[in-house]
Amino acid sequence: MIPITNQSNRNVITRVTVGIALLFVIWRMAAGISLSQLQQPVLFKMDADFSYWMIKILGISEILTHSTIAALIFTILFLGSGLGLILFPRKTILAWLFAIGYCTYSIVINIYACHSMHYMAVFSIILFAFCARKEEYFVLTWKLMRYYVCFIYSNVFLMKLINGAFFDWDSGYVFFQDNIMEYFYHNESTMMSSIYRWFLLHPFIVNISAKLIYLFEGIFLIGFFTKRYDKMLIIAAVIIFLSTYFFIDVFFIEFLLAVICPLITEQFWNKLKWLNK
Amino acid sequence: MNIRQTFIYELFKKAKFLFYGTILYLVIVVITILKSFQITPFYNWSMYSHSVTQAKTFSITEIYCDKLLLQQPHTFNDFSRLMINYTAREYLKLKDSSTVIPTYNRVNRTLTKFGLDGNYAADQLTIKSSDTAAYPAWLKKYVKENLVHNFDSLSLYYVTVSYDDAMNIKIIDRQLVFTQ
Repeated sequence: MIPITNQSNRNVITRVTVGIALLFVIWRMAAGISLSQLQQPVLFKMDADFSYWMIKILGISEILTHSTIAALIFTILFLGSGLGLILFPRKTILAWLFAIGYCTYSIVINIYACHSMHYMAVFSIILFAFCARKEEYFVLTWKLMRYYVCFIYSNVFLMKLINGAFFDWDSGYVFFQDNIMEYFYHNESTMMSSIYRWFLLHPFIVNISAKLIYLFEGIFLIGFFTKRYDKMLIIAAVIIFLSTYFFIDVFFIEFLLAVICPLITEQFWNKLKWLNK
Repeated sequence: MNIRQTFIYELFKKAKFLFYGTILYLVIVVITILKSFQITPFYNWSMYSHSVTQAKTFSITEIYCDKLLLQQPHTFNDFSRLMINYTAREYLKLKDSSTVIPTYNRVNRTLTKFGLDGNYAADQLTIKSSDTAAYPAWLKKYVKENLVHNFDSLSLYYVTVSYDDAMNIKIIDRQLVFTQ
């Protein structure tokens, strides 16, 4: 039988992970997208996402965005359960409330933003690890989340191989040109725009860099076979984040941090033992 | 490789529901990838995976609050920036299109097939022309409450641009979509 790894870090892992998720949700809400700040949105888009359909048909999205009281109750329960979970990391009822609240919030925002944004996707999954009642199941679920993170990047890499972007020499340049256009249009004389212009005039460098980034995504396949290179995977995730931030104009910060949490080694969590009380 | 030392075996031995749950999750993900759609939380991670052709022109939406160009510092306001950009693009798609009726019929047909009330569901899932017509007023209210507080009128422009040979931006067309 394979021994279960150190169980004593559950409190630390819960506090740090939930703390980060909570911090960024509050940040996003403060930037004008708390449910009550949406001003009763009129447009929505759901494509064929049946979870979105369900939330809409059941009237959940409507109630949460059109009733100030409902939005307030939801926000208090959602943020309160997150805060409660940091204080009492073993209370699984709080973990369920926070994880379901997080998923619901991200779905409602996506419905009314008319776009399926993946900023909150990783936390939407990994927060459910804290719902495990038994210690043994928590350890297994947390390990599973590490594999899930490896699965995301491996999937991204493999899809590029299957769908052809990896073999399309110009793909990196085309994505870059398209995504920075808006920034470039509004800020044509900044230093960053000068840098972008230089890259636009040197497609070879952009394309070769894009291929390198694709390979960084592919590195996560190693994660299925060994944990020895997890630090390297964290570095790869940071490089991918920086490249998409500067060249694709997206700021997937909570995505990055959610990816890093399950990759953090036992030794590192041990250093945060003071959070374990 | 000894299968008994793998994580998947450990999962199978110690938590069968997690093992089968993981298999089910992967099966659904593969189906959604093959069918090119997504069901949250079975995320489809295939964005930017397709081979693409270089566009000659690009489109941008531009918002003015009176004479002030609404420019959100990207990073800190990413979500509200996207909330405005994506809804504006959706509005441009919907305002003159007739996609509403086919969507309504498709949803109605699909749900009726499963024995559900197709009319009610289709009604909930379909944008009506009154929703689209209410968008300019909503956008103004959203911007006024959250971003720029003092202004009288909001204008949305649709701009078509391209790059010139020196990689400067060249405006090809700029149309006023609405002033509210």
